[in-house]
Amino acid sequence: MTLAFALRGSNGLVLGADSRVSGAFGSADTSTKFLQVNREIGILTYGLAEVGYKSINSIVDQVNGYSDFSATATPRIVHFSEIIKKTQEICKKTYGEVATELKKNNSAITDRDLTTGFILAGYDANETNQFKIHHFESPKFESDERPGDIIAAQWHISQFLSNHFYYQEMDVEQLKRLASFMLIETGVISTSVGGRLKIATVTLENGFQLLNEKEIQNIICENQPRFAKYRRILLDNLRF
Amino acid sequence: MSGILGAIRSHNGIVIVSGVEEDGPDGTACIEINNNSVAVVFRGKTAVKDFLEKYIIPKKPNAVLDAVTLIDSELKLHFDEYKEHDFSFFVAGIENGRSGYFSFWSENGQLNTIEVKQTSHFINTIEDLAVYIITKVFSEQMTVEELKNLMIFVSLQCIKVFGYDSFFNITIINNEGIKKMSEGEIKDSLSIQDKKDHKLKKIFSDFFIKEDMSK
Repeated sequence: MTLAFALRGSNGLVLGADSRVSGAFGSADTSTKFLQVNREIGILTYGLAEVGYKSINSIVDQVNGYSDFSATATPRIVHFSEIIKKTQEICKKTYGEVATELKKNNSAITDRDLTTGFILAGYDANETNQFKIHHFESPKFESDERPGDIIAAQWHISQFLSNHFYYQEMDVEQLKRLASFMLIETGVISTSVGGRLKIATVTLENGFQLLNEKEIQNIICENQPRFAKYRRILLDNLRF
Repeated sequence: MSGILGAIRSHNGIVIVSGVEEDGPDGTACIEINNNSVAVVFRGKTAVKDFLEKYIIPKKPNAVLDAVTLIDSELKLHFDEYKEHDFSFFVAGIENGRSGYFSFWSENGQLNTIEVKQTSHFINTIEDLAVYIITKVFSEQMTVEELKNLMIFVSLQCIKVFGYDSFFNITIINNEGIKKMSEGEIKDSLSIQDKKDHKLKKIFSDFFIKEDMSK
């Protein structure tokens, strides 16, 4: 599993995921679960790595028409609603192919074992002029839009943290701190969450921006007193 | 509540959270073996209940270690009857003023291991959230009363996050014996913990808004 989420703030979105991939042969912190789709939209995946990786690459390719060198046969997809449709179509197709193959080799595998999901988040600049967060999960990959945050996969600890810390009035700078906090705190307990933290922001001014390692490291350093203070507050309030 | 939430022990007692008896065959339960030990079932409830009622409880084992030894030998003897069930349970109790856990499980028709666990807390691994909160707060110096409050806070968070049923059992074992909290007591404790939770949310309201945490 993994931890993937999108948080909505007063002036934009913050997207986050870890980079651990776990399988029968162990785990590695090298996976790509996070891609920029266009200027204002990003996509995250969790669950089956094969389906996730293939799908997000295919979505980016088809939305931008990268494979079409002359850029005439397949026009770029610009509308958020069309990107949603395309995402659903690609995810369903890729999942269907991989799941059929896996089930053929092992009949005991259920849909639950193969859970895979996607979070498409960004600014809809053409139709509604709003920040949007959509969630798609196997096997149907029906689009689910929620007004606030979406936290998926290994979500329990982050949901607890979000219940206590998250407000929609928070701005992107504050949400970046919360995102890093959620990823680190979940990694402490969940062995399937870890590795490099991937955090991105979507704002009107700058579009989709993936934070570089130095920026993430600065946020982690800035959060250090928070980890200690958080524990102190829990101890003071829950130990009696 | 489906699935056991867990058990936690300090130097002089154990607090156990389990599902209600009417939870169905997959539910969890806390079954009294004698006046100082219980079996906490989190998989294959019907089979374990049947086994305990048939082969253990009528023999009235004296204390935890007696019960554990008896369960060990009787399980081996009658395992054929329960072969088709996957089950997991642990025995928790107090002996000579010390608390302990002993865990048993069967998988794929085999009684694989009988393991003695001397960990501070025993939580169903699905509940990462419970482990997380307990790890932040727990110390072995906590009294049974403090542990009870902590477990009710953890249960409250599981109800809020997972949407669990708010009916569950709390069993407390200390030197005075076994005490099951009544539904009313649990309801009152949940309401106290909910107030605590609101207070926490208030304290945390500007946690990521302040830039300098030292102020």
